[in-house]
Amino acid sequence: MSTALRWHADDAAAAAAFRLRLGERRFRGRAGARRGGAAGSSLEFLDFRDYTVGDDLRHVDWRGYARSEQLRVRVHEEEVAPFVDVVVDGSRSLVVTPAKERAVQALLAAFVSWSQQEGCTARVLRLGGGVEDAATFAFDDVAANGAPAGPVVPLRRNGARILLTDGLWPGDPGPLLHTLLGGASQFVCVQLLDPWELEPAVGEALQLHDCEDGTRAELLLDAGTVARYRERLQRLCTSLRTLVVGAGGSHVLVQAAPLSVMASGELMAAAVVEPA
Amino acid sequence: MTFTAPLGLLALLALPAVVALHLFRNRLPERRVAALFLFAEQALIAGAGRTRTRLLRTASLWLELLAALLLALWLGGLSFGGSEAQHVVLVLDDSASMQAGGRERAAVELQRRLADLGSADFVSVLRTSERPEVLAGPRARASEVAAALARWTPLRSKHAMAPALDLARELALGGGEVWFVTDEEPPPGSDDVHWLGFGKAAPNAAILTALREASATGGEQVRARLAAFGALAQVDVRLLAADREAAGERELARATAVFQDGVADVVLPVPAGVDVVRLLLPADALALDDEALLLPPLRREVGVCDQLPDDLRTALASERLLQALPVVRAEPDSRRAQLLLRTAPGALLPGQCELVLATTGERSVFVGPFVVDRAHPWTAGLLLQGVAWAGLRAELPGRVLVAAGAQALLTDDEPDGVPGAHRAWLAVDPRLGNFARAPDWPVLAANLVESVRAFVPGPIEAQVALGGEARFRRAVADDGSANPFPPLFVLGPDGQRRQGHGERTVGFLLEQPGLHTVVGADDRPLGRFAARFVDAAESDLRLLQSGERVAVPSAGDVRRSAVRDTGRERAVLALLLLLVLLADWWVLARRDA
Repeated sequence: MSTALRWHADDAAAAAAFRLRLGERRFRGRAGARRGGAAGSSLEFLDFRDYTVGDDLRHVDWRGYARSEQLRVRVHEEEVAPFVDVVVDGSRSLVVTPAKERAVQALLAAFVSWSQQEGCTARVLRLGGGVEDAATFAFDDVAANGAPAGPVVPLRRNGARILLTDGLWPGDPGPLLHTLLGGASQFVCVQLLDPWELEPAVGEALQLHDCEDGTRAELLLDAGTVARYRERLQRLCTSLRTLVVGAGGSHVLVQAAPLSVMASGELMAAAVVEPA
Repeated sequence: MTFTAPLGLLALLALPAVVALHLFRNRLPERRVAALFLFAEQALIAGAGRTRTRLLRTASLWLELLAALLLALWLGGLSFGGSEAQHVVLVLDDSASMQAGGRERAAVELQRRLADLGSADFVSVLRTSERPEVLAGPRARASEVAAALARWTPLRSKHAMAPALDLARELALGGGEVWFVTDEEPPPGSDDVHWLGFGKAAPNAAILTALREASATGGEQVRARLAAFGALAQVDVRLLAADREAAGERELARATAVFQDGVADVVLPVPAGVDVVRLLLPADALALDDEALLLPPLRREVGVCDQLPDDLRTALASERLLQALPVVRAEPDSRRAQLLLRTAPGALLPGQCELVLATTGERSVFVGPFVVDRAHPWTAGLLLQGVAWAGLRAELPGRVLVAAGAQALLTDDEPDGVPGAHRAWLAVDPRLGNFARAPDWPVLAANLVESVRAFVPGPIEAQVALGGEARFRRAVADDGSANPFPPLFVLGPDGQRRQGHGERTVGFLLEQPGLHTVVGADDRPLGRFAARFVDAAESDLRLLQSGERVAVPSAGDVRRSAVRDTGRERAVLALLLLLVLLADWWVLARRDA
């Protein structure tokens, strides 16, 4: 991330109060300060145990071998700086309202900032695109039919992956999630929705204008219409959640709000972040 | 004039609704949304407002009233007589045994029966498979079925009929009939289906397995196992050269296979220099299993790029080693090699393996004990007995595979961001000690070669069972092109191009027997596959049956069987409705402009 992150001053201050919760999972990455996927070469000595095939031969206790002719290894913890790939849905629907635009910018900047604070090597990738700079990331994609494609560059294995999207795709997101979840040690899908998208006001008659394909429709939002809309939205969100959780990831539905509210609310409840 | 669905006339209530909409027409506030499709099936309104306005007798009003009227008549099932329509759902058994004469008999009989259907009757044609395919329809005219029957070429191996029958039952809901065209006995639980059997029991010989391999004499041979289903004592087997360039096929070898317990094995020699060969049995009831095209055995040569300095190359005798290792070639271009020998790490492409001789560090000699990680494929067969390992005290990255004391001597490092690439670090000075002369060095080199053989570009296997997936390993591109995985196609015996799926390994579904050629977008041939039919269950024609069993209709079917065809009236109403809506759109567009 070469340039300064693009976010509201209040959100930048709020981000400092939280940190990314990477949990106890085993990661891969460069040398760092977090537990890795194997016994490693850190100074943290744990124990002796019998040598088994596949153990790092650097950790054989040669003095003990000279005494007893029994191969035993010193078990150390491996410490790595995990890879974090922040995969962002760059479609226009993420900035359909000012509140949602501010929220997605804040979340994008915050995830990059939190990852760097954890000593991780973070990248921002666009769905259907490549690696981009968080500070200049533009939400101007127009979704084709169905769900968007995964990033065109390979994702780093055994790292943490964060998908930032609103998940409002008419198509099956299964193939995309299969790509994103494959080889990840930790996967979090953050589904960001505007308050109006979650709870449209009943009784309004509106001309709705789809921000991506430009289609328009005039609609009376009576109680029945809103109920059916919410049922469809609920089905869409549940389907996404089921796919993510079923594949071992975690899913959190976030209502667009200032970062302090999102972080202390849904993100902390879903164990995505924790107090710094 | 009658209405087949009078309740549809309730749609006439749309007339006052249209008037009300025009009374309360207003311009609505606009809101940008992210997912309009979530409202897709909601009741859209056109310009509703709360204040009643004067009704304008516009062209739009009259056109919309007319549209509502036409819609109500369409929903009400306006009929000026109509006719009784019949819906027949044909389920065609797509298993290969139907090629034993059943398909031809069925096509003739179906043409005769379909000719008896009325012009207003509908036919849907399904083909059985795990995922049933619609060949004609749903609800096509009987006259359109001939083309579907001509396209019907049963080639599948044994599969379940239930998915196609279930789909047919759904399509036939509302009074239709299901005709199941097969050569086997009716499946259990299919009493509601009209069964038409066209099978004819017959003896049949089939090629079960056919393998083209190197012979003990240094040439090639074809080893085949044949099966006899029925009263067959022996069969003549011929081996033909099937080269494209040759004017005709010339016979290479001939043998008589004598069946014992229904099975016979034959071995036929293949002369040197012959490309494609064809193993052929005499014509019998099922021709599909009498032939096998066989390509020459694949040589998946591993390219080794030796970039070692001359003194290390001499000490390791790497040139002699490459000549001794099986199916290996020296490759001067590092981008086209699978295994690289270097003294310093360099750029790697996906799937490449690089053996790096660590040459910097304090020299030391290790005579053991050596500890070897036996779980890794590179260390298979490494003994290191009597080896005086002249190594370097260097810190090697990656997983340690061989160590002496605290010093790692061989490690496996996986470079980040290069899928499938490995870097083998070897802390040895081959000019000193006896490692290069010990048997462990060629064993290690052979293990490295075998570990990268899977990444050699080209077909992974040459012979593929019909309906199976043929896999092709793509050559690694490093030219920085925007699409590193351009599409690959397979050119089938019918001349059709079908695109493969996958990135580094591309898969093709082969659905026709014969030679298939992998080509790029520029039609340059990249590899070949030979597909042939293999399914002993389908080759066994002894239990095929013919006959007819009429479906047992349920009470509901009898009640629904009289379906009045109001297709013509509905078509006219639909056309008028479309014209009126287009006119209304044109009027509104002009007004808004």
